Amino acid sequence: MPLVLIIMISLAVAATAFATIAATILVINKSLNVRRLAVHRKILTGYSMRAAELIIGPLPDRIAGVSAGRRFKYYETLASPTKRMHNRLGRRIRELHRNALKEVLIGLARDLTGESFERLVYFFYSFGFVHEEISRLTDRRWWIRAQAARDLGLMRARRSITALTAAIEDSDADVQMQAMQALISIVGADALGAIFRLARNISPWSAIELSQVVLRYRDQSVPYLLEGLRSTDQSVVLFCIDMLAQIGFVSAVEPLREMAQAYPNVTIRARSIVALGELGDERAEGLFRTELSNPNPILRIAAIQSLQRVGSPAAVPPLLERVHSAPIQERILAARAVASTGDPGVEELKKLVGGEGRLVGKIAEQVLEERGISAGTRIR
Amino acid sequence: MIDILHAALFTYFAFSVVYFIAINLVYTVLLLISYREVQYYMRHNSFSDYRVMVQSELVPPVSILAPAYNEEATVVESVKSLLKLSYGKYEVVVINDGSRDNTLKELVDEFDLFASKKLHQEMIRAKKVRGIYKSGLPQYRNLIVVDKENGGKADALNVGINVSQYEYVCAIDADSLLEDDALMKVMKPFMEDARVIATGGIVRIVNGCEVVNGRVVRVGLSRKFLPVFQVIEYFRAFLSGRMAWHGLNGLLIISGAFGMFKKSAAIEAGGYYPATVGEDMELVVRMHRTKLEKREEYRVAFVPDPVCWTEAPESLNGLGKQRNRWHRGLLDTLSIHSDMLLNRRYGVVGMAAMPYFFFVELLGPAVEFFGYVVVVLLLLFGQFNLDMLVLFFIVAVLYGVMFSVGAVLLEEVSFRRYPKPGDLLLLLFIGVVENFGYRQLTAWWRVKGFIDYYRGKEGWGTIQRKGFGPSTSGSQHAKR
Repeated sequence: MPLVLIIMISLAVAATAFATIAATILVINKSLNVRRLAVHRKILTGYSMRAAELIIGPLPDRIAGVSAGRRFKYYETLASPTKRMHNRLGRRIRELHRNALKEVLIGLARDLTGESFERLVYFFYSFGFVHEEISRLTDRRWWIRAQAARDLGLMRARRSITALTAAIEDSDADVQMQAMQALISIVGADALGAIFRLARNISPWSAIELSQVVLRYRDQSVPYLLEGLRSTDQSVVLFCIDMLAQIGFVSAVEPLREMAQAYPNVTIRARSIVALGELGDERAEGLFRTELSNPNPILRIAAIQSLQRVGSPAAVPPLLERVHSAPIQERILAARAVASTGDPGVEELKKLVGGEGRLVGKIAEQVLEERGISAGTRIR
Repeated sequence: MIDILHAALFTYFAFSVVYFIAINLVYTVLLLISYREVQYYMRHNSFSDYRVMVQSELVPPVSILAPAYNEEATVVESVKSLLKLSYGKYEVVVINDGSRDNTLKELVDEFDLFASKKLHQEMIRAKKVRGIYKSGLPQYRNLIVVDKENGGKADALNVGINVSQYEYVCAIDADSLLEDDALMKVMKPFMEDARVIATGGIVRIVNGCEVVNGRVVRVGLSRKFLPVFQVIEYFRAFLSGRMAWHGLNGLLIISGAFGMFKKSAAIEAGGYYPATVGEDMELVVRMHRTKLEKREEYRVAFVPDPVCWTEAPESLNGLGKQRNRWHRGLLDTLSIHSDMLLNRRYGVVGMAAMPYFFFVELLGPAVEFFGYVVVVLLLLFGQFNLDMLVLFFIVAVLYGVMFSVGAVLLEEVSFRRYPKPGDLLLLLFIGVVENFGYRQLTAWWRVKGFIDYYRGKEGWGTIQRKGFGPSTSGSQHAKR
């Protein structure tokens, strides 16, 4: 048999095998999926009802107010029938049931407080979910570790704090982020101290995710954010600056001023200046005006943005200087800052329209139009 | 003489067989890489909640650039749909590229536009801007309409870049439908990795889907065969092609229908090149080139999420024109950057991506088409073993089927946008059927692209679109 023929037949066999097997699996899987979903829904519905009995059922009078140990014994009597039922199931089905129960209980964790929540947490431990997830935190697959961290946070499992703290230094960014969020869910704002101490290379995306959590605690998080300014990791410092600016806490002004003046990194200095502007503290205005003549454009632009925020008429003359002599984007920003000072600035810009400098005049026109002071020409 | 001809024909056939084996090997490797990348993406993405994050003040603002040429029938709906996207801070810059119809008037009337005094800096050279307009209606404050002299899509996008105010620019076709969270999904790679300079998203076929108020509300397959053939093709191109090149950092194409760029990197590369019909690919290749020549670290990323929907041609004529243009664009880009081909200085791009696009994507249709011609000639000369021919054809078809099934498999393990088992069966069936006629036809259109290119044909041609509504029609962006 010629070699080409052998190759052809082998290729044909390989392609046929792949196409047939893959197509068959796809179609079967798609059809089974519909069934699987129905089964999953059925199991979930069953556990939703069971969970309601476990959690919402009233605590007997003889148990209410007694020691935690006796309450836990009572909770265990509630959980026992489910555990016995699980033990009778085969391994795969048991797994399905346990996952459904976990899903339902985690769903409830978001809304419960008080004794019901205590009961819920007890069940997380009693059914072995917490233990299971802690051991998953060391799985070699990152997505299993990340999921485990997320679930532990949702279960608010205090026993996992050490493991989650270690996971902040995980090699995978998703695991780190889930661990941070979980710790905040469990410990609250107090977790931020450890997070800012251990976190490294927070990407802008992670920063957005983390900011959602930090903003929930606002004032409580300020001491930790101030502490985070001393981190050796620049991304942590930048994050803390941004958060302090958003939260707007007055005690942030002094450390931010120090950083804006003396921090060795220009990006951080610029962000500190912008943050001070967002805090709107007039004490920093002198600094902004000084930075307007900084040879570094990043710092100049940051100063202009901050002056725009503060909107102080005293800044008009130095800002007008920038409008007259700077790269075009900086001129536009400076003109906007002039306009933000109110009437004095607007009057100055009006003087520039049709004045000696054609570009300056156009910039002034654009900014006045942006502020709705001189609307453009209607074309109908 | 006849013997020489026989020998030449036979040699070509043998070459075709070797070529066939080689490209199928390449496709297999790409499919495997794609599988790994899609799996990673799905897992990675399962930990992000876009709905919550979109509200954050830390999300960078974006300028959407939508060039429009003779789009009077659809432009208002398209722009309204863009203005309703779920994203923090963004502006929509519509560039009217010297339309000869009432595109501008429609926009002026609908959005109460006034001539603005907004300045713009010509960072990239482009045709003259006739006017910049803004909306007088408060709900459309983030709309800017630029009226300019006709210069083609690339030129319009360059004007858009010049006028835009934010660091990230998203180039889209005015007739594209975007998913609500599309911007957030394509911005994510930029926020995760500072080295990313461009991202592209998956473009899907909207024919057969239900569209309400500019949003796809139900995904389905068209009842016509031609769009369904293209669904499979798009799966192959996007899921198993671009995803693999994303994994290798050798992605050379970001679809003109939807791509996000770091403005500074696009300007650094010189912006879109107006003298080509493949401006989307050309820009990405030039961005690669610029960064590689400067020895700067960078990444061009691909997002496999279905973020953008586009209408596929439903007539053979329209599809033929589209494929012809794509092939001319590919040929043009590879000609412009021919010195990068097999040049070690350009790393993965020069040594893998460019050779792939040259030997597989560019020459593939020609090799295939002439293979058919040679086989016919050999049969006519009685020089060919018919059994062998049939066997070769079967293998070719089976491999075609295998890659189509592979692409459908990728869709099924990831997004599962086609919920009905019936749709899946139809896709698998089409994966088989397309090998008999459709595949040969596309090969011919692409070969014709070669011929037209060397005959100096330029421009986009006119492709009639049905539109998303019941009574819309329009034409593809053209250069006069």
